Amino acid sequence: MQEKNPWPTFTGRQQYYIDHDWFLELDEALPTHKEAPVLQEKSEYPLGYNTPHSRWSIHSTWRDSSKMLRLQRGEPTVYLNPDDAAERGIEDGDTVRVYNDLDSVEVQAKIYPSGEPGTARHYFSWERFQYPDRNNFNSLVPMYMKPTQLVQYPEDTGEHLRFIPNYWGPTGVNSDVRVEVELVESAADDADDETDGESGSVSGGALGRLSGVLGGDD
Amino acid sequence: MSQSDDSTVDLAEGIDHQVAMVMDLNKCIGCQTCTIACKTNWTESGGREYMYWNNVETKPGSGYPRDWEEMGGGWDESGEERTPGDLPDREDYGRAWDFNHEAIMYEGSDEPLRPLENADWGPNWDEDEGAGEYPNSYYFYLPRICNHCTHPSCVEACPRSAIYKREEDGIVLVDQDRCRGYRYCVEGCPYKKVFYNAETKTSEKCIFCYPRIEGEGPEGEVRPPSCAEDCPPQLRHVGFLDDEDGPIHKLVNEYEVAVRLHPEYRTEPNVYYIPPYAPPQTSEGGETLDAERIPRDYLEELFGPKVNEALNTISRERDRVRRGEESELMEILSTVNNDDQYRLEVFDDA
Amino acid sequence: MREDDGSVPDRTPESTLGSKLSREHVAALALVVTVVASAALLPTLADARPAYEIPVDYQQSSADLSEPSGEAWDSVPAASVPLSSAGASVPAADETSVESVRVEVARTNERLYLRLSWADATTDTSTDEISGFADAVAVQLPANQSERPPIAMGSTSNRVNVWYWSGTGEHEALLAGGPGTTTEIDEPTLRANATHEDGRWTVVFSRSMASDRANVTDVSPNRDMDVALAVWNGSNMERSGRKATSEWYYLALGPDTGGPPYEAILWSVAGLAIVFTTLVTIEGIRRTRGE
Ligand code: SF4
Ligand code: SF4
Repeated sequence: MQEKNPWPTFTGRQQYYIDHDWFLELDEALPTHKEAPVLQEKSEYPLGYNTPHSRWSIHSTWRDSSKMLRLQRGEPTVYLNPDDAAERGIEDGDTVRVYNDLDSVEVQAKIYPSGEPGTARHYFSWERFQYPDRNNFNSLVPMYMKPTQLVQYPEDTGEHLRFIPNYWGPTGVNSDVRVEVELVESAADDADDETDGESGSVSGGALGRLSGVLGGDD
Repeated sequence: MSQSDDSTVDLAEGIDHQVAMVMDLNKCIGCQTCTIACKTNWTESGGREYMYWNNVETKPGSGYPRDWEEMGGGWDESGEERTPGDLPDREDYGRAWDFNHEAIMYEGSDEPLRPLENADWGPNWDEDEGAGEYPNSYYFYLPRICNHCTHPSCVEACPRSAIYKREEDGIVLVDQDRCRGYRYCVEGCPYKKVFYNAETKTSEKCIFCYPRIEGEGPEGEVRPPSCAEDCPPQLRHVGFLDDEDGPIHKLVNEYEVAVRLHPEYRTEPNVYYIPPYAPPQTSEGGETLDAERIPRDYLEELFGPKVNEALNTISRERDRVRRGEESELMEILSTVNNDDQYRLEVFDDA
Repeated sequence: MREDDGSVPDRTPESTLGSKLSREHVAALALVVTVVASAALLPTLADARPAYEIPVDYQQSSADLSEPSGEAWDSVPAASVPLSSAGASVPAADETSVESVRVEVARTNERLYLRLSWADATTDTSTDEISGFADAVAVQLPANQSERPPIAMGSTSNRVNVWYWSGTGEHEALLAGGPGTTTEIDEPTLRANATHEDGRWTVVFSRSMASDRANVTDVSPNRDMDVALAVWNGSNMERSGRKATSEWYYLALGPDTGGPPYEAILWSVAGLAIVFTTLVTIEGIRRTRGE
């Protein structure tokens, strides 16, 4: 109870036990630890990928503000540890491709000595139109879909659990994503020819990608 | 609330009072709200696009304009002869890039949003880079405005006396009618805080938001400069150096924990900084080591030898608080009361 | 220097020595003068102007005098004025690059024209970059003619007028009473035109002769007028007190009052000697020919 209002749960109290059939069947009637599925092997995608909130915008608001962009690099960047960059022949300011088996985004490399070796940090909330392929930081992040996220509980009212975007349903889980980074164009050669959209990246639309993740075709 | 004029604080000759600011570098998150507040108020257009009267740069780093610390200006050791200074290039400041929003938003372009010109340097290009190696890398943010110096080499540099120190509060201003765009002040300021406007053909600079402190700001109230008032962590104290009951006097002259940036330039800045602390270094395995993360020599290079005593005093006072004792200094530094931070209505004549 | 105020013996047509001599005499005289001059016993006629004088050519009509390459300038005598760093108290004040300026002055009844030309290989015409300075030239005149003002922009009690042209294409009339005090004044009759050719700037200033306004120099057709010149080379970052300046010169507008005594005596002696030698020589030749 909070301010004399019952919790919006089945029992009206804080409730962790869900006795829905699917939860029982999957052994998740109580909060349970399960090993995460491995989507990207470390051998293939050696860099941990994270997308922290930035201090240059509030979500995507002002992310494309000229005034704010002038205080950055004018375009999306990925922060790389100097050793990781050097191993890949990447220098500060180079255009690079950050990719895994979901997608590939083209961004500018920024060398970041405080980055933990083995991580690629790509700040959150750049707009799609800031990427040559109109994808974004989230394109590399899988959305896991679980049967339990499809239930309505109790079944008649859904008072406790029902589909609400960003609350109950599939969400991006971005702490276990792995990527690799490779050089597209070095800043030194780039002179002033705007990149002509090296779109050799994986495409196929969100649905194709989703079905790929879910293992539909292979 | 007027104070007697037999103040013990050294002010420039002919100046009644001196505005001053203390910035606590431990609180700066590098969000650039101050930069944007300043830009929106004063430097959005008319040849000022490239100017940042307030900028925030990552230190160690080359700053804005690029490598300004190597451009000379200020005074020699005697404090009487000016040291020659350079004029920065437009590229050193970075250009105020325009973007292709129009094409993308209204003309259906499928190009990515990009600066319309080749962008290879900007006022904050080396943001977050700093120095050192993981896990003992380090950096901090340094917000900078004109220091409204007590011994301003910009003023001395002008052959036309177009740049002057205002008598009532020591704010340094460029008389736009007198200025003929010779740029000796731009060369002469070691902090590179006077800017040449190629449209008006005059030099321009931070005015300490004087209309705001005079009560001509929003709602006709006396307000601190925008960079201070809009700072999310409220890290700036604004007032008068010679307000001996105010926090600035205490931080600068009594506790001596607020120090000048590059005192060796000898312009005697009136913007002071609480030097940054950083967690100690750690071993590869993550254990805390007994070694300072930000090398002390680097801080001395920036803030002069006084930084040592300042840091010692702060540690000592911090320990007192940890022991449950009172510390006036820590109270001043951690206040959340704006009335304590901004003291602008203390002199009848200012 | 005003005390040196003097005049070339043959400055005006009426006063030429030759008018009293036959054609033959003139030819012979010229020959003799050349011989004598090349023997370095006397300065050449071109240099025979008193130091610091800039001749003023009177013309009936303004024709194309306002054009830097106007034909009306062909008959105007030129003076070469040496320049040196002004030694002002600005950084690198001594580092100036232009060493002399060629000056020609003409007047009509209404206007005064100054054509200034100097060597500068680069045309610096923009102040749009932070380190961009424009080439410039200025003419300094006393605001009032009672006493010669201090050379460095006059003084509070003895001010100067400055005509300033900049490579950006602008020109202004300025009033100054000491270094760092120049202030623009309204002077609608001041004009400037410039060209850059073969590594030289040529700028023509012109202004109404007469002025009845306070602090605006009144140029009298009957009275010599002090003048000083300054040139800035923009690409050498010259501006303000970093400039190449002349000493005070004067525009020879006034009547022929003769130079200072020593100069007048020297010239008289030299002139008489020439006349005497010439006449003796001519007479000698005649007799030899048996005329
Ligand atoms: S910081 Fe520079 S511009 Fe500001 S007063 Fe000091 S010398 Fe002058
Ligand atoms: S607004 Fe405050 S915290 Fe943000 S950058 Fe400026 S000084 Fe730092």
